[in-house]
Amino acid sequence: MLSFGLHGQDPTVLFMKLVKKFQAVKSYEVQATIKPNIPLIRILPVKAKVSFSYPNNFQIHAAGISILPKNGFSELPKLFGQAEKFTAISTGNENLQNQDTEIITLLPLDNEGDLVLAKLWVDVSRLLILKSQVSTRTNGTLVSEYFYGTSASKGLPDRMLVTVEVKKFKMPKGIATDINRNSQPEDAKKAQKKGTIEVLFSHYEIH
Amino acid sequence: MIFLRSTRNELIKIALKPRSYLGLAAITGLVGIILFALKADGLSMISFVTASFEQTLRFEGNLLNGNLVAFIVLQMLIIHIPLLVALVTGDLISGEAAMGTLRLLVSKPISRTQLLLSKFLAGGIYTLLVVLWLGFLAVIVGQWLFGVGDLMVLNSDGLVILQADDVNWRYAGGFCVAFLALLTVSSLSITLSCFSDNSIGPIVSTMAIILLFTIIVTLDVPIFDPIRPYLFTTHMAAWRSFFEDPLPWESIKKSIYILLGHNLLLIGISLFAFHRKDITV
Repeated sequence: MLSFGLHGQDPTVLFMKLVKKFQAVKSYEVQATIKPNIPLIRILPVKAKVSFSYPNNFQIHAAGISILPKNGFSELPKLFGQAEKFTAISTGNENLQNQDTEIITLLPLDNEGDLVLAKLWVDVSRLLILKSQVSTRTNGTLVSEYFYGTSASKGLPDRMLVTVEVKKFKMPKGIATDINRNSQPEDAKKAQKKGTIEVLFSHYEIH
Repeated sequence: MIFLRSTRNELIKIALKPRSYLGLAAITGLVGIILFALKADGLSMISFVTASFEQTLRFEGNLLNGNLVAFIVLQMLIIHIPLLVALVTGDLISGEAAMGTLRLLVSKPISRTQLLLSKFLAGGIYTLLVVLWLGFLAVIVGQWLFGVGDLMVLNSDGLVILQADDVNWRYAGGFCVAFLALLTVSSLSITLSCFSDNSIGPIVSTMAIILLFTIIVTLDVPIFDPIRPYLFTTHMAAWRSFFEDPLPWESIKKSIYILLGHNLLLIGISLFAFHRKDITV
């Protein structure tokens, strides 16, 4: 309680304010440019159209193949959609993107759900989430950073940077064998354990 | 003029042999089976490749499209095509020797060099037809059945995803190099055919040499390191290099030079042998 007193407002109240802000946007469409930078995968940026409808329905239309985090863009909407299932506690402050943020940790009330722990870095003054870290049993830990611009008032980011762990990637040997190739994968690539997926959003059409 | 007429005659002889259609029929059947299997259960095959990535990532879009299907077909079949080529080209001289028509042929007003080169050219044209037929079935029919889309290729460095409009020229380049590799097989079998008087010997010898060289290429034993880059079987999969990003031009050029070198060397050996061949039957 002391830390709550020092760092800002009640984390539960703050979390509920975020939920309310999220619920205010019932649906939107946005143009997205998806730029994966993942070791072992080489792909050019892909343009896509993302449609969202409340509470957690994302549809992605791209001309070709695009790569997204396993749960797509639905990590935060999932949290907001079941707000009553968590306890929010304040776990400190941090300066992110030159903004003071309050860190809210969400703990599930039961032990049977998929979510293990979630942390939100909240810019209290603008009521925006600048960073999230969601740990689930099935997908491990996913860290996302959000950068806001024109649609900040609606809580919708212009840029999103998702960090994914790639240490579990294994190439199926039988298929990957290329007898014409003698060179080994670069050592740097081998050592790289994390990749990022950058998503640029533009031209929001909020309904 | 006489060279072209001789080439035309050789092509007619190839066209009249039932075994010439065996290769094309085999390719049609094999591609048909692969396309059917991919249509029925292709997604499970893809998930075998992407499973490791899908623990963390999600692939959006049509992964199983005509471009990927064509790549899978080529990867599966390009290893078996040499047998189908050698089946026809390995017979071009030894078959005539076995039938007793070779003596008649060399008694005509055409030099042995021209006669042999016309057989090489006819063998090359047949090989080109085989490659074109394979390309038609794999790329055109594949795209017709499965649609066009980005191509996901798995190589030893990881996954490469090429955009749909960046793929066709890669197929064109890949088929050119694949043709050059198969032309080397054709040249090898014709060369062996110069040393034999029966049909089967050069065909079996060609396959035995391909098998031996392939084993040397795939065996990771240091003693073979000096010779491995110069074996034509090392470069038979060079067509795959066209599906890498960035394109390994130096590696592709090296493969082209080595395959061309093999062809010239084999033509030289066969000319030497054919000129010295004692055709008594």
